[in-house]
Amino acid sequence: MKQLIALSIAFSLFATNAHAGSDSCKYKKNKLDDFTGERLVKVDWVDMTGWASSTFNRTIGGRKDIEVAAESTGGRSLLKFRLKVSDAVKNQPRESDLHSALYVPAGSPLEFTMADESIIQLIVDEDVRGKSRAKYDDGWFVVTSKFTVRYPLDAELAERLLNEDSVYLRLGARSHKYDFVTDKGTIEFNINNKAQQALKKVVGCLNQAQQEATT
Amino acid sequence: MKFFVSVLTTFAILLTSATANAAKCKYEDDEVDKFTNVRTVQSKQKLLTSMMSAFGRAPKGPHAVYAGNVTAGFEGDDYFLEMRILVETYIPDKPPRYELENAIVVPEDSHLLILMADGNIERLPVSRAYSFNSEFVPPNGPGNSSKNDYWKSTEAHINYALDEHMMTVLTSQDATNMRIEAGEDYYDIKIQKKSRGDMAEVIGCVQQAHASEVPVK
Repeated sequence: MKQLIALSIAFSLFATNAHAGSDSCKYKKNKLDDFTGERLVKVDWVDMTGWASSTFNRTIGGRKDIEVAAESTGGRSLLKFRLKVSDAVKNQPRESDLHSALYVPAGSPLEFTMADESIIQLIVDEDVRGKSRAKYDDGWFVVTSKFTVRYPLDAELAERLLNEDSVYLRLGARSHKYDFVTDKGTIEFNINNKAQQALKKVVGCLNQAQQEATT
Repeated sequence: MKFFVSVLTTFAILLTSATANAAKCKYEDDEVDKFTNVRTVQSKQKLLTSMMSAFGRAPKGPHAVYAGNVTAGFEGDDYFLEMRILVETYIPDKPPRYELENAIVVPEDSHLLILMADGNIERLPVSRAYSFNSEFVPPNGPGNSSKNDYWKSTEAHINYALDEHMMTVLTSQDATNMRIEAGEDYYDIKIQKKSRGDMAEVIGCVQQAHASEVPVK
């Protein structure tokens, strides 16, 4: 019995430790730029994808994966999302179809619905075109588009994302021919616990690096 | 006798050093245009980045400079510094044509930033706007050792104008790092230790060629 208790305590300690370890910040870059002298911080990507999408939608072309990261150069911070969306179609896509498969024009919004039903809006300031590919799979052509969108993030909104809970994420985009976006021209995600933690971790790590740089 | 030996030694040293200097300067181009009578000379390129590619340790990715070379030259009395970079990446699928176009775009207001050994940064304006396309090699194709991935590469040759003052500054000491501005993007080159004097050397070579009436190639 004693052995069992000791074992379970050891296991729970190990699990707690592993969890704490997963909260540590990972940076792709956190250094002074040789040329500008400004601090360049790049927080590494963290997965926000819900288990349903990552488990069931891999083969049938309804994939919708999302990762989040952040970066700052000088005083400018950016919140970045890397998405991978897919759709299955019967006809072989042409190159022009792939070209217009996914597009995020400058000025498109990203909206968080917060737990108190308020909205936080960020606006992309550059055009982004998805890298789209088609693969034949058992009678279907699975078209997959990958893209990264970077939204300028000010200190006030970063603070809110860090301290308040968000429940829904809506990203403005355009798609020709494929079911990547809704009729309203958005790609939408529920923010579950995993996504919430990922978002807070990334924003928190960016804050931490910026604070360390100023002290 | 002593005098004869010392004269002989001095002469031998002079000869060796002159040969060494001459051997350092190599040129890939020296011609006079038949219509305009303008002489164009360009030095041979010098590799600034390390040859880690042989061990598979060269930087990879769409913005990592796989190989960076420098050369200098003049056309008439206009001097220039030319950066030649190769950017490469491996990708799993065949890229569509539109993704190969305008892979590196250098707008007219871009600069080459050079970090000198004393910490100063020199800025050279680009001679004109540039745009470079990518090429790809399928798996197992010529030059692609990968069995599964496509090798996508972009080669860019970018000229920067050099004036007399800048040539004096750039030849006075070594350079340690370079940054090629390309619109929103940039490409960084960390110059390997043994190549830090190469930029000064190629500039010196073309100055020498300019002073000489005799063709250098």
